[in-house]
Amino acid sequence: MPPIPRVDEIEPFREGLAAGEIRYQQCLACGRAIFYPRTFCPYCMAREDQLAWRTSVGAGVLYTYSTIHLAPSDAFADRVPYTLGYAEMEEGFYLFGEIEGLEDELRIGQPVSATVVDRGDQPLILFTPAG
Amino acid sequence: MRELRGRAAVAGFGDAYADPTAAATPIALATSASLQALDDAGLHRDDVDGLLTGRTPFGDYRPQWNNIFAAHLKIMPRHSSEITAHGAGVNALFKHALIAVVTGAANTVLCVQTDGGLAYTDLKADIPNVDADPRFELPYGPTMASFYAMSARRYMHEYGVTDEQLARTAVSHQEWGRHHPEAERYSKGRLTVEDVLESRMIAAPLRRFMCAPWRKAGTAGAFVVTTAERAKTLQSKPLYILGVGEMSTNEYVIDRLSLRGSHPFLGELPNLTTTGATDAARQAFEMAGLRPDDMDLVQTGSNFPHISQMMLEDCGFCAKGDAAAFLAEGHGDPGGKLPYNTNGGYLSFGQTGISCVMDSSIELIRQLRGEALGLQIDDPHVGFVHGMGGPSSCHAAAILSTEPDC
Repeated sequence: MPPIPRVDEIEPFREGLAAGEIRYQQCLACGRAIFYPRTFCPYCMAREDQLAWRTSVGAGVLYTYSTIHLAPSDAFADRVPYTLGYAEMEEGFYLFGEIEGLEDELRIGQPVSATVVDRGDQPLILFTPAG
Repeated sequence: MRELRGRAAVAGFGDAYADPTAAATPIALATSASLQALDDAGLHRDDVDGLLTGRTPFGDYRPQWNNIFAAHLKIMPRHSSEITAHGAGVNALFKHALIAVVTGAANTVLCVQTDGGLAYTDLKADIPNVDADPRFELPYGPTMASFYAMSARRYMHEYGVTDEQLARTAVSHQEWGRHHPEAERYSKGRLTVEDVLESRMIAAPLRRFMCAPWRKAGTAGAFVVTTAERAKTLQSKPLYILGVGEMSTNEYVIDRLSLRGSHPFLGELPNLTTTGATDAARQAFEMAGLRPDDMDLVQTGSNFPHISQMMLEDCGFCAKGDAAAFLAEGHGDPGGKLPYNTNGGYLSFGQTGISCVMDSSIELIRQLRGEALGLQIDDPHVGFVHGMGGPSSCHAAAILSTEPDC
């Protein structure tokens, strides 16, 4: 699995994953949730000192997804079929991850619970349908 | 840009298609296309003072590819660049060349794009390496088909488009592709909706025949742009650049989903179903002083059938949500009122890496010149070509005409 590049401003996110948490930023000036992490608010232009790190409660709904039947490379060939997609998180940001289940079992708008799982050499986000 | 309408023209073009059984590097293909373009314009290599290319080809992934190609041809340009709005940059070559010759930054601009197909690159792995966020998306093993499948799912959810309609659009593209001798699916004959719906699932809901095939062998296209006045002295049938437009909205899908506001209208945000093609097309039509109804033919990004449908809508040829039915009625097919993706689009012509966008431009040029390699439209005068890249992130459009005033 390709390693995640080391980029400073996402370090708190990476530390969060290592601790089993999904962290995002909130702009204290405009209140919006920001993901992926940045050093300024891309909505109201507030600077880094106005950004706070938060931990998501992990609740979201599926926005869209796809079950992959043809892997991009040998590294993923024995995981096929697997489902990836985006959930709209309760806190107001969209998050990408793996989703438990195949396309026939999922639907847009389905509530999901996001957790962090260990996949070999790195922690990854997994959405589990929650009803 | 209105005052630049028709002030630059394509004075010559060339193209090259690798034989899958013979080795033909992207640079060799680009050379062949360029030399043909210069011959077609009655020019010599030494006349070229501008060189514009799209982003580095996947099949020859050296940085500074534009300069590498200049050195290869022994051109010393005073105006050169890679136009890197993903694949849209290849379409935007028309715009950048127009600006160069009208301002005098260069007199003779050679525009080139090539790519090598599967012979020179692992497209399935390499393209996600570029188009997926390496930090938040790539580690999960997405494919380009899967990202597009995610937008297809939203498009079907929001507009009621069905699997059958996706399949029918794939069939429309093959109705053209089966007549174009350089199309990847040329020898596959007629496709039916059943064929498409029974083909293996690639990334749900997209099945194999709903995905542009990776071309086994590469392609290259080149065209020479100069001022309209000079083009008339070089070429009996110059093609005037009447309108150009461009809009990029995001890099990764995760960027698109975090959009909350947009000055060009992109519908209610966030969404994956109204793209920057809306504004790119609007700019081109406004500059040209023309409307979608005036177009004799249309080429667009067409890697998946929902994209072919979405682009027809976003570029203004159909109302949002209407393209699937429009195409199902055969209006885009041979003999239809809006010849659409006349080389078969990426769905039938194939995807080389990046030069598929140039393949669409070359197809428009050939049709307007009356030199189509596949089915020739009857006496077209003005046509529209759109190109895109990234996960529907970047878009560009151009309107070419056989007349300076249309």
